[in-house]
Amino acid sequence: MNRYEEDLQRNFDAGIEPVGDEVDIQAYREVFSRLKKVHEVELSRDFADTIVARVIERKKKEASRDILWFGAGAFLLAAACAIVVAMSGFKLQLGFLKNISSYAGLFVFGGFFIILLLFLEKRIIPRRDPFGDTKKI
Amino acid sequence: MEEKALVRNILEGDMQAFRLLIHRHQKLVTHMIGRLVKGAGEREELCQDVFLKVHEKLGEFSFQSKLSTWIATIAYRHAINYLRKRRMLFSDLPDEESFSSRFIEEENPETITEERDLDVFVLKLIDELPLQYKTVLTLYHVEEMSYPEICQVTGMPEGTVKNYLFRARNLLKEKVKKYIGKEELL
Repeated sequence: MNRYEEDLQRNFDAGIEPVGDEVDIQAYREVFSRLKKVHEVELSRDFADTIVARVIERKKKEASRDILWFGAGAFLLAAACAIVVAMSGFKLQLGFLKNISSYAGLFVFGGFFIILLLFLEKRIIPRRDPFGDTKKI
Repeated sequence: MEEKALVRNILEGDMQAFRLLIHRHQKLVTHMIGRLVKGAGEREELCQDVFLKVHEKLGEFSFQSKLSTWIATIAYRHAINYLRKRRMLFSDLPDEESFSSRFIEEENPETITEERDLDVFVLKLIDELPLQYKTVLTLYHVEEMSYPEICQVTGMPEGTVKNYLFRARNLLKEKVKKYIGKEELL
């Protein structure tokens, strides 16, 4: 970089009247006084509304795509199960449940306990969120 | 509304908050897109696309920088991608020496003799500058960003940002010097 030019620019940037060649200074003065100006892009009056409408439209599309994928997944799973059962001659045997039927209370308690833990985790334990303060989620 | 609260509300689905974000930052986005993309017809749609991307990615914003810097980064990258897709001029800077002498010496009769308004003349000159120069000029002078913020937006090292800013202003000065000389002769 040219030291002289650099000093002139630094002075203009700092709002100090520089010393140097008068023609250079005048030209820099003209340039610096216009650098804040831009061609304003004319936006339509419903600019924000159009964006919001596009966001809503995108969300709807995403939601229907999710449902479609879920439906396709469930269908493929059911189809795969049906094929496997048909090809392997698999028969459902639930005899093992007889062995644990005497512990039904324990299983019911276990289920409730897990649900209780999940509830407490959600409601009581504070989590640090990306906004920098703690928030109960 | 404070920035964090605004972002939180948007993430919770508040579209009024998103409208407020658009309103606050639309000048920044239009300045970036307006400087980098020449086609007036495409600019508004590109600005809309930038805000769509902002909405889509807002959950990833971690407040490590100002929201405006983050939005400017999205706008800059979006404009660059658009220019690349259209195979419009966006490459490394042309050879500095040859570009500078061509830029200064080039006698464009439309701009030099017909342009009576120095404001418009300088704006036209900025339009003719390489994209990297226009970007740093806009971020520094129009958006009043600091050097580290400009580095974050453009991904350029600080030395490069300072160098481009210096060169851009120097080129404009040389051209305006010629313009002033012609004005005095008339």
